[in-house]
Amino acid sequence: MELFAQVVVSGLTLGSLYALVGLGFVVIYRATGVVNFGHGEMLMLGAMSALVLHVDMGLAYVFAFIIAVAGAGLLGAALERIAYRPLRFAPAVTVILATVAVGQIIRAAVRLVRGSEVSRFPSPFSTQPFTVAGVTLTPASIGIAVTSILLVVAFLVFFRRTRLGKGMQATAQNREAATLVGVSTDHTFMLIWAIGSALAAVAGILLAPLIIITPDMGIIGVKGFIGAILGGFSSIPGAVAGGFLLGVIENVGGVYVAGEMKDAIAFVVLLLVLFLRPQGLFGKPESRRA
Amino acid sequence: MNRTAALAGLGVAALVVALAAAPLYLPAYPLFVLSLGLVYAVAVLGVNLVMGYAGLVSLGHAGFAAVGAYVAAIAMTKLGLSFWIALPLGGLAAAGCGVVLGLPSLRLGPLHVAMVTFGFGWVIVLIAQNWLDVTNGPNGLAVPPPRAFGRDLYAPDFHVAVVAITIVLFVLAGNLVASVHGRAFKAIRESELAAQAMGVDLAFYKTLAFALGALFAGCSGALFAALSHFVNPDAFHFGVSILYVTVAILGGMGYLAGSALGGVLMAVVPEVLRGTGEFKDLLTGSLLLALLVFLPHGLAGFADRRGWLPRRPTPPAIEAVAPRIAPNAVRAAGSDDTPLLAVERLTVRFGGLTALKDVSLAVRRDEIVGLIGPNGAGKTTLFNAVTGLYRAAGGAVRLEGHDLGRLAAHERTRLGLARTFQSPELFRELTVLENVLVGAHTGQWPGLLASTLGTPRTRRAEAAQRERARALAAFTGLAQWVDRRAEGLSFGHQRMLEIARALAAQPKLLLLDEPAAGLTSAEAEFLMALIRRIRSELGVAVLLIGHTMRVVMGLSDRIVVLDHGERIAEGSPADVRTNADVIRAYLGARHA
Repeated sequence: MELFAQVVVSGLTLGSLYALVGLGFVVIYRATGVVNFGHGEMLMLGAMSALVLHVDMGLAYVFAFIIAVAGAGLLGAALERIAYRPLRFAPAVTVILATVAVGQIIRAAVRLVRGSEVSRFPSPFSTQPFTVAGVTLTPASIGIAVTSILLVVAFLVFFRRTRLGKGMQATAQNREAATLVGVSTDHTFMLIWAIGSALAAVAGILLAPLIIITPDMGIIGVKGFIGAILGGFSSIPGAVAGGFLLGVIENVGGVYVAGEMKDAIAFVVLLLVLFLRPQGLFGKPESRRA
Repeated sequence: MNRTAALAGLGVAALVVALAAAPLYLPAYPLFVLSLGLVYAVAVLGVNLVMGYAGLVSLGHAGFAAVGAYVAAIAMTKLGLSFWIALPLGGLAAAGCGVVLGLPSLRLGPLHVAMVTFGFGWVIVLIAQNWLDVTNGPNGLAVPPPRAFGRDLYAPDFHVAVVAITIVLFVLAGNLVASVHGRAFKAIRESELAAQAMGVDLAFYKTLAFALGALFAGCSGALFAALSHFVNPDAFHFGVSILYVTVAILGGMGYLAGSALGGVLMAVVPEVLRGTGEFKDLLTGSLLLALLVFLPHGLAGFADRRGWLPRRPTPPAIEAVAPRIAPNAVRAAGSDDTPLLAVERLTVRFGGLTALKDVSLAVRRDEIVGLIGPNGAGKTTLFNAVTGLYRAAGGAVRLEGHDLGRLAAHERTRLGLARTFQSPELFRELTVLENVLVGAHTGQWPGLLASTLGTPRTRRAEAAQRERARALAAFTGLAQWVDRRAEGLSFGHQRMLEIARALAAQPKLLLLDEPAAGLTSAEAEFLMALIRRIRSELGVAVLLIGHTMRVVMGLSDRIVVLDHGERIAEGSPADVRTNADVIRAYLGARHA
């Protein structure tokens, strides 16, 4: 029983990261209708930049964090301008491929600069474990979970309460109508890509102490996406809950499945969800009118 | 045979000879690279079938190639089977995976399918790396050389085999995409809505596209295993899937020659850029992005749009004779009193909104019935419910007395309903003739196997259907535009093409959704004459939505008026024109 509790709690820590990654996907998707296949690479780039700034160059953690996140945001805005804006009216497949291409470029560029070297990143929180009711925790994992949850709540408020957030949702639902009532699509999209990319970088930096950093760590983005699908892509709280759930499922399933194959659990979850309940556990089905 | 076609045929023959004779003039390593390029071309062709022809998305095609390679390798090493059995086994195993992955695409949009295929490619590599007993993990499996004519086939001999297999696969794919089934793929790509309205079974063709795309990738994988005598997981990682897609776009999606070119480039370019291996992924990514923005149709598409590709010569214009268009036109007219179409107390709801409430109407054989009503009255909703695009919440739709129940749109077309759309839903990148041919999808066509093999019967059926399609184009006034892409037609001609395409289905009832909207008065005159001819010469009944009163009043035997989803009047044009309820609905209570 204690083992089970331990597995669930670790799963929730992992899940908080999936939730944060999934949030980035959903934010961009809801405003632009694009699923960003380069999200994982942006996450990796955020972690990499913070690593270089903090570990290699000795900058304080806070500054490294801010610079890496801001850099990712700027890059996101630039990518919108260069790559995604010319394709705004192209078929969905084309835009998907463009995000894949961007991800590939980022991954290859980082590998060119750093090789496939494996690095570790220190946590800003203590990693000294302590035990509560038989479950071992570290301040680091609690810190990560709390930060993720705070960010998720902040974005919920942003989308529901602020003018800018509402403008973004309006753009997502009806581009022309949003333009007519004075929402600038160009600015909104650029801002959305900046925010989404910055969010990816935050997730990457928070995640960094938990896993090893390599140019291929962007694969974690897939987990975030699957979590969001599991919960429901159409709803932010649903997508976030899905992230937590996926973390727990993976960890519990991992007890019975050996080693590296644990990564395949997420894919099996994805297929099951898509076959049985494509709108996700907490999402509303998309109304289909011809 | 005209000169361009003869020259093109000669060019292809020369190319085939040059490829097969490569061992005579190429040293060992360049020969290997060429063989590899052909093997890649087969996989790229698979990507092209899924993405270029059917318009679906696959980001995990290297996963299908991996399945083919490993199944073939294991069949040869562990089961001791011959390569000639292992090759189709690998292809079929991959096709099986393709069917499973194709299933979600029936209900889901491209985003989800992209992720499913991506995840598949990733899991296959995970399995190859970790299922040590079977795959030998990262160390891979050594594959014995294939045997034929009592000896082992190494590089020069095997090259000839690769050339032969590649050519056979390309010819089969070429037959398929030029057939009724290939046109169904393209129709789905251009407009799923219009495709199912023309009787194309979306579920079947999407699954088929994935199965075939995977089959080709699986064959490519098996050939790869035999060519390199070795398989390991590295050859199939995500970057390879992206490379397939990139070179498929570079060559030109929707062009067989594009896939061949793309595959060869995929093998040759890295050799030319030797020493810059580090940059390979960076180059691929940048190339992909640049292609998407600047050259989305690829090299073949570019050449095609410039008119550099040889074309099939167009036969001279044809006279439109009704028997040619509708051989079954003489029906048992008036043999019984059952109306052709009977809509009974039909109700359609969207969430809380009731768009149609208890609407009944009937269309008899040889009748032209008008359906009018103010904007938002539910006219198009009625069409959509009758043709099966919307599910009715209550009531029934009967065709010749048979309840259509829950039949899907494509099945209703088969039973004799065909329609046009309010704003033309044409297959924009297909020619006028091809549009009409898709309309004939529910007609008599050879099966999948016969089409792929290109049997003489297939050719005859295709020729007969083309003849009929050209007659239909002439019937609707499009004779001189048959080879024009639909997107290049004037608006009036687009409307006529919609009618020609619907007539190609040999319907019993034709449903026209505001066919006169946007037409000039001369075009509207032509349209009215055409609709009369459709009834008198082809024996097809017409249900017609109209805003242009002159057209509806002038054509209809009877008119049904809808307002706010309910039927408010029915009668002859003269009755309806003076009906108080109708005037109130259109002009407001003050005028009644």
